[in-house]
Amino acid sequence: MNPRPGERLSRRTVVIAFGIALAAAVVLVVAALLLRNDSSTPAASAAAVVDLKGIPQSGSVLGSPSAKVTLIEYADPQCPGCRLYMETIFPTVVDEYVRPGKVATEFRGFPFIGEDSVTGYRYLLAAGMQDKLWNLAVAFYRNQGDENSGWLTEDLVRRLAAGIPGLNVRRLLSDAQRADIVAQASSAGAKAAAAGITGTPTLLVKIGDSAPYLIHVASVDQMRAALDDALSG
Amino acid sequence: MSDRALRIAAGAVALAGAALAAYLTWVHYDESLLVCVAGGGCETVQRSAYAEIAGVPVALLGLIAYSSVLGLVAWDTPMARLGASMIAFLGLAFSLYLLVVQLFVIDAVCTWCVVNDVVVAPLLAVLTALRLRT
Repeated sequence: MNPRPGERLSRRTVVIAFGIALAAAVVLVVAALLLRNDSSTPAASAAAVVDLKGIPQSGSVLGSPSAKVTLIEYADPQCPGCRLYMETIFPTVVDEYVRPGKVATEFRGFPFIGEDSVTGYRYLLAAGMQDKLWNLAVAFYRNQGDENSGWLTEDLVRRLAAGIPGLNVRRLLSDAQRADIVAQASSAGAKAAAAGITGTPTLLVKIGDSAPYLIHVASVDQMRAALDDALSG
Repeated sequence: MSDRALRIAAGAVALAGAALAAYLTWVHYDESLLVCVAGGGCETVQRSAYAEIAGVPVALLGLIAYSSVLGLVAWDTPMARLGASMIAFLGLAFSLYLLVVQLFVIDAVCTWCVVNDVVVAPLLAVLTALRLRT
């Protein structure tokens, strides 16, 4: 029975109560970490969000390490064509080929459009160090601004990265300044050009350890045909 | 400090906390209303994966907690005092977690959230705990 006003609670009651409160706090923090909003990405593009949850990532590669086929994409964070690919064809690639483990897809930067391209690629490489490159790439394309308009700011990156579960934003911003990341992003354009890449998105298919070959796809059906062909080969 | 003064202070702090949490709940659903002095910090925090627990805004949980404390302060039985202090203590612990998340994970600070985490929640915990001694 509750004590009446003016009565003192026993020390034991208070200690037990605070023990319960402490336990509840621990449960709440654990629940907050486990049940955080995994889908809280900023809504900018009207296109459906590509769900990458549960798909393994390693550096710049999305998909199973044992996938028979690798789809290589050369892309520029500022390229509208890459955004279109990400919004129209990429979701099918993920749902029908990457998630089932048949195909892995690799992001290779060809940041040629301007300064924001290199900046964006630096952040993508930094996200790749936490195996979240593709999450950030999807977020970039969903929020892509006009080419060389200065849209890819650190504030935007902070905001987008904060919506990616498991991505440590502080570490991302720090890693993006690392000398090796800066060098890799700065030299990526020349490296891709030396490999014969002339524009973005450029797509190549690699079967096992064989040499990659170029594919030209402009629709979901053409992509399905190209990947099915590679998988049956 | 008299018990009456502590009660008034605890009620006032709980009311301030409820108002703050109500505002943050409001802007969670309508970010155009957000007023923040830090560059993009509040927007970043409000949009982060940590702003909700199972779809429920953290700010809404704060509103419920502060409202509960306010009700218990008004009720004012010994058990109500203990309940208020327990909720305030729980809120303080969770506020510390949110502060750590802002500073070291999201790397963005929402000024109003920090006011809650650093001022309102600790003050309410102290005031309600002091009332257990009177």
